[in-house]
Amino acid sequence: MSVISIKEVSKIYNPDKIPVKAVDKVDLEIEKGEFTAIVGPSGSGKSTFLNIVGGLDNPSSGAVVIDGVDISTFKESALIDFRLNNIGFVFQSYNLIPVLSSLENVEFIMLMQKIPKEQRHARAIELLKEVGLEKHLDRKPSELSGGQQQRVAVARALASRPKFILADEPTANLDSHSTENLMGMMADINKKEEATFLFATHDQRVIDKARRVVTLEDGRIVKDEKR
Amino acid sequence: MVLLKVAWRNVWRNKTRSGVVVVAVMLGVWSLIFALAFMNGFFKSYLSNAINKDFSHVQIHSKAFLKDGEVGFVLDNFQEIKKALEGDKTIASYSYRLKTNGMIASAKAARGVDILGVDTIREDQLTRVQSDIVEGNFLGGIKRNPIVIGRDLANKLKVKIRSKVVLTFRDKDGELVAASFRVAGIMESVSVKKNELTAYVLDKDVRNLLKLGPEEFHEIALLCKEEETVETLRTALQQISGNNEVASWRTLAPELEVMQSQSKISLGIIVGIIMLALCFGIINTMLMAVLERFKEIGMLMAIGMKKSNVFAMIVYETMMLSIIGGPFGLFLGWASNTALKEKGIDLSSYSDGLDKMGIDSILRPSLEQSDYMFVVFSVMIMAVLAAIFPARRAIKLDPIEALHKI
Ligand SMILES: Nc1ncnc2c1ncn2[C@@H]1O[C@H](COP(=O)(O)OP(=O)(O)O)[C@@H](O)[C@H]1O
Ligand SMILES: [Mg+2]
Repeated sequence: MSVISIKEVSKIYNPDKIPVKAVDKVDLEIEKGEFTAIVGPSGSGKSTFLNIVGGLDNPSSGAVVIDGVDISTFKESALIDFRLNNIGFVFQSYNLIPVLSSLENVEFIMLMQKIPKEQRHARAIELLKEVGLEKHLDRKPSELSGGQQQRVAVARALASRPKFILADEPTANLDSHSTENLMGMMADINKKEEATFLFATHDQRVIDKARRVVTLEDGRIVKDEKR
Repeated sequence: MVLLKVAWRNVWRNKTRSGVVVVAVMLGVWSLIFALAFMNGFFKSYLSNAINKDFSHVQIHSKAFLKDGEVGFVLDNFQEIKKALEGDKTIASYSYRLKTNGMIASAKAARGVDILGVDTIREDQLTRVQSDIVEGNFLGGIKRNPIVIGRDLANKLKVKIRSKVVLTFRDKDGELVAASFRVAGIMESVSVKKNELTAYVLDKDVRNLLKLGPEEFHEIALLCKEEETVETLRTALQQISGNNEVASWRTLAPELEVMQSQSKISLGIIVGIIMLALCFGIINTMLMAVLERFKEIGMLMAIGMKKSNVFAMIVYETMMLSIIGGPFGLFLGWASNTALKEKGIDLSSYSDGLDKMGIDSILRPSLEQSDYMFVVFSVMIMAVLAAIFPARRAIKLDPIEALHKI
């Protein structure tokens, strides 16, 4: 069974006025352990698609089946709960709570999942080690570089033991060195932990790391290549 | 717990802004306490003056005397009442009075006047007339027929110490009698009635003129040591009083009770206004804080933070602002009240008008423990109310919109 199974998903903005078909009848299957990039020019529908897959938004039509559960008609509060326990997120920026340290940020999501203190503490340290930040456990986000902040975000996304990790343009604010670093690290984790990654990007260096590249154009999949 | 920690740290992210709110809450609570204590002191002073100088705690009259004021209607059962008063330990002081109204005339003018025939020692113990005397003294220093009148009455009659005045009134049989008196003292009292309408004479002087016998009186006024025992005493006295009416200050001066409740209302309004101002200040600050953290709150909801938790976080932050400032304000209020209680606030530069209203020129702020509790309670209610609006704003954020506006 696929982790993600998207069937005939469409998203139409402004259906009453001038409709914009941001996502147009997309079908996509993502298996466990994939490392897949959604690519395409700006405005091609990548973010809209990822939001729907991530349960941040409902599709106008179609089915979004995550690990056997169709979330396409979930109400807001059910989606919040579903996201917490099934999906890890890495956004372009503003990923972290500014008043909490790296360690506390990673622990915070497990706290929301009501994981016992000792367990979440140990796991947070372990994950931060894995992303190479064991020396910065007590630093606040403002005391970390952009690349380091994104790595904390990856650790945070992994912490909740999600079905997969969504990353919308995770490297858009990073220089090329940090981009290489972050992507290399995500690829390592993907291999080591069999964690499933789905990310949107239009950065060639990121695309190069992907093992499957799905190209969107005007909300439609125009190319789907595995390497 | 962690939510509280996050909220606490969020409060200090913008130190200046939070500091301003904390100080505002502190000043608000302080001014609240001060205003309450000031008004309370104002009213207490008015009330205690009215009781100590005018009404006393309890007055006893013959029912018939109350009805038509004729001097023939003296107190019933006087001997028995006298015995009861002498034996009662809850009583601080009391005075027997002869009372009638008539006319007071000088060479220049004439006025209506309430004539009180008293024993100087007893009356001074009860209403402290001597302390109000500004010229001469309380019915002393004049051999025959001394009289004490108020400053305003003296001015109207254009009389001074030792001036002669003539009192005209009806005796027991309804005959008009007139007698001349000499001004022994002039008083300035917080009681308007005493300044304009009252004349004290010796009971023995007026008794003969009224054709009344010894131990015949119209009025007994008394003060209890504690206000709490007034009603018990009143009931007990009523039982042995036969045809007399024994009334407490609450019946004698219903306007005092009205004033008491009105002062509560005006205090409520003051509290309301200060609270409202604080409330708006806090709402405004927290709305700013929420909008500033648009993306962060959107991110929290995106990764799966429950709306109830987001709501709680903002409520905690808002309440922390109020709860930090509150105790400081309470302390300042308590400290300033305690300091001012000793010295009082000297209002003598405005006291011309206050005198006429029956209020001392030295005002002592006064606040009960229950009033402090009331302030604490209202601040907490206010904090909760102020928290709701920004917290609702926070959970109405659309995470997608918040995360896209980068
Ligand atoms: N909230 C919205 N309301 C209306 N149109 C939107 C909204 N969000 C995105 N769109 C439109 O949908 C299309 C796809 O946008 P988006 O998913 O952000 O693309 P990408 O992430 O590939 O740049 C664009 O034409 C965009 O203008
Ligand atoms: Mg996008």
